[in-house]
Amino acid sequence: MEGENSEKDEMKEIVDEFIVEANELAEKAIQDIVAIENNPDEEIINSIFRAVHTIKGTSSFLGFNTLSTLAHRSEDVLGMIRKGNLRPDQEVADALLEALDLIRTLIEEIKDAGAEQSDIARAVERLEALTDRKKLGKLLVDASVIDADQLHEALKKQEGEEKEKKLGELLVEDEAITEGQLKDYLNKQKTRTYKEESTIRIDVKKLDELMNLAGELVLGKNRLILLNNLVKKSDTKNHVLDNLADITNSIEVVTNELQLSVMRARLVPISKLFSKVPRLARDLSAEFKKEVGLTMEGEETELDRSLIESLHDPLVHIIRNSIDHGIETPEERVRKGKPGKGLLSLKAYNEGNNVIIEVYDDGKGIDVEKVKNKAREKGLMGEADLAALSPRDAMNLVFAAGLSTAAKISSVSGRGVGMDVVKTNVEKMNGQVSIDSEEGQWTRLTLRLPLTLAIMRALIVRVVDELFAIPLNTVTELVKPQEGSIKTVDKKEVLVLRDKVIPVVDLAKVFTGNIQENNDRYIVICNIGEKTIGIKTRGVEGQEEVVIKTLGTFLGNIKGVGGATIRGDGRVILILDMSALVDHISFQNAYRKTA
Amino acid sequence: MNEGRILQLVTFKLENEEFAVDILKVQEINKMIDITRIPNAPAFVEGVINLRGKIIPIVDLRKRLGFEGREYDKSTRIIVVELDGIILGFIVDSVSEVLRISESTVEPPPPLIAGIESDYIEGVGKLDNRLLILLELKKIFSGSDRKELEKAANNN
Repeated sequence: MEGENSEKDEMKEIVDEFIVEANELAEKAIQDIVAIENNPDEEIINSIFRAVHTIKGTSSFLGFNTLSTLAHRSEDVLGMIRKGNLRPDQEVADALLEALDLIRTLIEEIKDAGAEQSDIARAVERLEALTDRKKLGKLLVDASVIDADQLHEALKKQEGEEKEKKLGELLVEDEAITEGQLKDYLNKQKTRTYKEESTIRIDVKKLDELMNLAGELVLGKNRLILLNNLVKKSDTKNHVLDNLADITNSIEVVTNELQLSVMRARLVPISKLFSKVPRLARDLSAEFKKEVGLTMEGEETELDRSLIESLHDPLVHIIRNSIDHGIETPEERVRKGKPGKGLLSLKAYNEGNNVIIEVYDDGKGIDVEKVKNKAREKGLMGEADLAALSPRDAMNLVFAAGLSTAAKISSVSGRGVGMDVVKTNVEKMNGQVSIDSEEGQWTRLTLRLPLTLAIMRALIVRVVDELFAIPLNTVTELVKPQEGSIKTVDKKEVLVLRDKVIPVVDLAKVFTGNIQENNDRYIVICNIGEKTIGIKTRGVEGQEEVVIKTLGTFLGNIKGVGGATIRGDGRVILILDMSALVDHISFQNAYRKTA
Repeated sequence: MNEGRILQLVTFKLENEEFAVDILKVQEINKMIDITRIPNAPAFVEGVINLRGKIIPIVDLRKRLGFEGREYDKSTRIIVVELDGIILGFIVDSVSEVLRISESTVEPPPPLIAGIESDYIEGVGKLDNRLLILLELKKIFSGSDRKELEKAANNN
């Protein structure tokens, strides 16, 4: 008997202790709630949360279920406030105060009578009205999946004997909703709260500012690396310099991460652009009396938001072309043994630091001979050059200025904007465009765009005595030409590389008109769209990440120069505009032919 | 007694002439630094410099105004100005001082001074025995320049 007594005593001791502690906690929490109503301070909210949590835990352990339930519901509300999902306004504070007052009453009852007596239903309902639990019910009622009575029934059950069960489960048990519906609505509930939590709207200007600052930091980082390398070379060993190396490393890592994050903040999914396509395709199909089925892939692919805007017009033009000139009329298609409904398919995906957008149609393709004829007619190229063109190169002549879309085997002409406009626009974005086709079968346009316009990797080369940056995404290889591997064909220099003949650009000549003594040691081979050119350089300094800056309106129009960047040592170097250089070669050719 | 507005001017030298520009247009005055040349740019555009992370074009004012070119030396300065939102720098032989003169002492330009087209001149300020040529920067770096720049961009 004595043992039982001592056990009882021990229990009483614990309960007494709990009563004292809980009273203190509740007292403090009540004061705090009044405080957060005016000033939602995180620390105070956390302190209330902890207090209520302790009351909940201990009361549940001691078997005071009513108290525990009330504390639990209060905790739910506080949890939402803590996460920022609920503003502690007067309504919320009132509900919490009522609950805590009741908690104190319950504690008093336990102290005096050893058991809970008060009814908590009203307080619980009020708290639940503030939390998601109620919202699921409200969501379902609003969507007329259940009616208010069913909800009330379930809530009542939950307060009664089925405390452990969730509202959703109870509703399923009552056969008010199905499992599937429950899942759907729980998801809806989640996505809504998720969105509220995880996104904010930011002025693009602010993002641009951040981007600029990150860019400056990248330059600073590069200078630091440069300095560090100098120190390493100087061969002095000491503790301070080791520290410098460590700091440089960590700054490099952090800066790279920062730059990436800021860049990502500017990325938006391409669905922003793709979402306009179905309507466009529908209208165009009606306009040109074609039947077109549309498929789209990779809408979640992200790219810089400024690119999305600039991509709109070229994409509209390409799609217009595909439906107007590419896809045949249903009758014609059936005659050719194709399904009457044509296929237009858009695809976007990432490839390294590029975003690729493909527009494919299963229309009549490109008649290479017709394109060549047109080029001949317009005097774009000489006979010999035309003959030497590969079919693919010939197709890509559709991008040449002056060769209008009307040249593309078509009965209906475009609206006077040629594919050259598409090309110019894409190249303005530092991108490339190319076309591939099988006559009678399909056409595919491929746009290759950088993820961002602001930063790129570049190869730094020395031409005569100036440094230039070549966008690294165009560089395919670096060649040290052997004696005699550079030949002159038709007064133009070409490099013979693995049986391929590559035209060579002498930048010194392009930029100054002077022919320098020949001490260029390397040739940088670059791929621009479908074209390959070699650039003569005296030396190669290495790869670097460069922040692209414009030369401004005062100097923005210099041919062959796409922009400038500031190197680690603070010097400005120019970034080459590769497509302008290619045009330069083509133009030279055309000029020679017609002259 | 109407003395008119007081003008605050930055004065500088080219050859033996003294020039002045409105101090409100001037952002800063720098010593000569490394200039990156720009191919295909008009002759008077010396190139670009890095001004604390911004890339700004540099114009040789001697060449722009038709003086003989001259080696840069210790007193050579770059005056950075802002014109209609465009920031650019121009090279002068030396910067003299900041002056306050009354607007009433400024006279309209004679048809031709120092071989410079009067279009570029806002007026001439008389100061004891000195003559200050007040430059109209906007005209110097717009209009014909733009055309010339475009020509440079297209003549390939």
